[in-house]
Amino acid sequence: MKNKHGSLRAWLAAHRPSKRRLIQVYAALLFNANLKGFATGRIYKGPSKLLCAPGLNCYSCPGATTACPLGALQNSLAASGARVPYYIFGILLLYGLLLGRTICSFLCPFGLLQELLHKIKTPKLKKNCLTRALSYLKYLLLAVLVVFYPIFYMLHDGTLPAFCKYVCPAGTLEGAVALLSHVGNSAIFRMLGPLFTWKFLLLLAFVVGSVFLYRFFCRFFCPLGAIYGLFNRFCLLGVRVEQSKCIDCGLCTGHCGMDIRRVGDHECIQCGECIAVCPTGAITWRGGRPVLPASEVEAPAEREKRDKRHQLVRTVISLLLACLLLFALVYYNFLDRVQPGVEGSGVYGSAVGDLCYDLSVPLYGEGEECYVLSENRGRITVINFWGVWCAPCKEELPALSAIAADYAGRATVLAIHSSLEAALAPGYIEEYYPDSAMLFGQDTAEDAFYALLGGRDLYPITVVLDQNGFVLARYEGELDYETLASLIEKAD
Amino acid sequence: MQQKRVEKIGQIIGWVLSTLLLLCGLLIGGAFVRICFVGDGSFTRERVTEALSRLLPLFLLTLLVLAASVALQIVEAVRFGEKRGTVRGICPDKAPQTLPHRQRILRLVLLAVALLFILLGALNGSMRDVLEKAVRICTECIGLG
Repeated sequence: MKNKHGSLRAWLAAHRPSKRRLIQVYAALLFNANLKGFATGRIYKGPSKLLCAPGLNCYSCPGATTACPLGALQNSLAASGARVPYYIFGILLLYGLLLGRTICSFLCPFGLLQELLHKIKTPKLKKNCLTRALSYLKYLLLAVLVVFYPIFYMLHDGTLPAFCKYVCPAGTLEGAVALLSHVGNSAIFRMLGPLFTWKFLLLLAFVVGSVFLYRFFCRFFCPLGAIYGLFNRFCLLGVRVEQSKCIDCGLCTGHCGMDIRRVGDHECIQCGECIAVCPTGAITWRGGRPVLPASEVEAPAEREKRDKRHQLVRTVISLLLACLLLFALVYYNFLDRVQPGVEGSGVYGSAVGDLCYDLSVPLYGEGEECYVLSENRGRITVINFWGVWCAPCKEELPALSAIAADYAGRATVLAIHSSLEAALAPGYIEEYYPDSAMLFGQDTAEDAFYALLGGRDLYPITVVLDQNGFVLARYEGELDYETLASLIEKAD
Repeated sequence: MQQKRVEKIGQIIGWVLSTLLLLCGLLIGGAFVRICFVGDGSFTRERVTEALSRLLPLFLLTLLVLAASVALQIVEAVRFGEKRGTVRGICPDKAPQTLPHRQRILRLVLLAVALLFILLGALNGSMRDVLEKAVRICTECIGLG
């Protein structure tokens, strides 16, 4: 019995997670503390999404409590025609200067996933000059997909977060797969197409690649790592090599899974795994003191006092961090208020077969006209929710406009713009649909009409009402002319 | 003796300034938490701007004093002929490797620029842009658009 306990204890000691692993799990949990989002299939919409998580964490994940810095950068560049994206530049600069690529090794949930996948016992592909050359691919992706494409499309009145749309596996895994796995989002399946197939295959490639290659996505494809790598020399926290002790044995670079040339270069993720490998103890952590003088001359007694002080500080910080995580879990899952919405009377509803709420939608244009549903009975009404920032929404507008023209005698098409970037809508409508038979309305500041008609964070959605105002059909995602036309024919 | 005294004074100034900066950060963070999590929860640009404009003078003052401290250290180093960036003394095995002064100053400046950009972002609305995009599902980003 004693031997069993002894061997169990030895096993636990041998397999105890390292501090770095614990911090990674902590960070993944903190940035995805909205666990009830996985149960409800809805994303979190609270104010903490102002903050960006330091690592790659898609904000379309139901659990995400913060924004993704890479997604925010692309969207900000896409909106840079209207305002300079100071905020996201400041955030990236701050994270880079404080932590550099320490973020990759300690705070990135996707990095954690890759490291766990790499633990699967298979033959591993070692790094070589080819992998070193391939590591520069992420800078190309950063320049082209993250910077160039959003700006290019912005200059042509479009929106394209190219990296998120075509490459990012975090969005596919944390966003799409997490949302699709909830039964309430079954309508989303209709939206799956070639893009999702491509992204899913890419996700599989990254997952399989991570099994054989250490941090496959981080090393070759992650633009966020490319950005933070630029700050590795300046960041406050990271590893440093004491040149006076270094004997150039190369054990550190040999042991490292990343394509580093030396410890602390732009490929180094500052994980500190090389510290244990160094035979002379030349590699240490640098805490960084931006203001105090460089001198660290101290006697052994003072060093002991300093060590005790540091131990106390570490304990206090650990307690504070544990309280923060506990607070986040309790707040997001139990205390956060339900999203405000318009209460229904119970008679009305937004499901198929329900009598639709009587909306009074303000219309764009001169005067203060409103489209009141109850005053327009006797006609089929197609209500579409869209936004100028939403590429699929803009792609289906021509079909809706054509329906409005072809079925002008029987149906009314009402396109309601969301409150996001509402100021851009009149200009867009004036430019692309000046003579359209379609009516363009505006939602309230809280997108109340969208919420009332059952909108679940996704754009576009289309609701078709019959001549008596009952909901005939609801669609989430882009619609084509034929589908709408057949619905209108059926309703007649 | 005089060199040690000056070093000591420099260290004290550094600690005081670091504490001021930390307090400033806590104040800004506290104001943010108060706006977002306490009260009626309505997050408006005006409220954020108002809170930040109250904290801005203190923040700018701290930055100015920090810059002065860095300048003072440079003056101190030049005056006493100290080799910038390294000190070898009683314990040779603890000879530290630190950034050259120029790079440390650059880091401070960039840090100040980062905080300034965040402030400017709060004022010009780009902070709100991030929030408004983050609270909506990006169908393109998850392969559905």
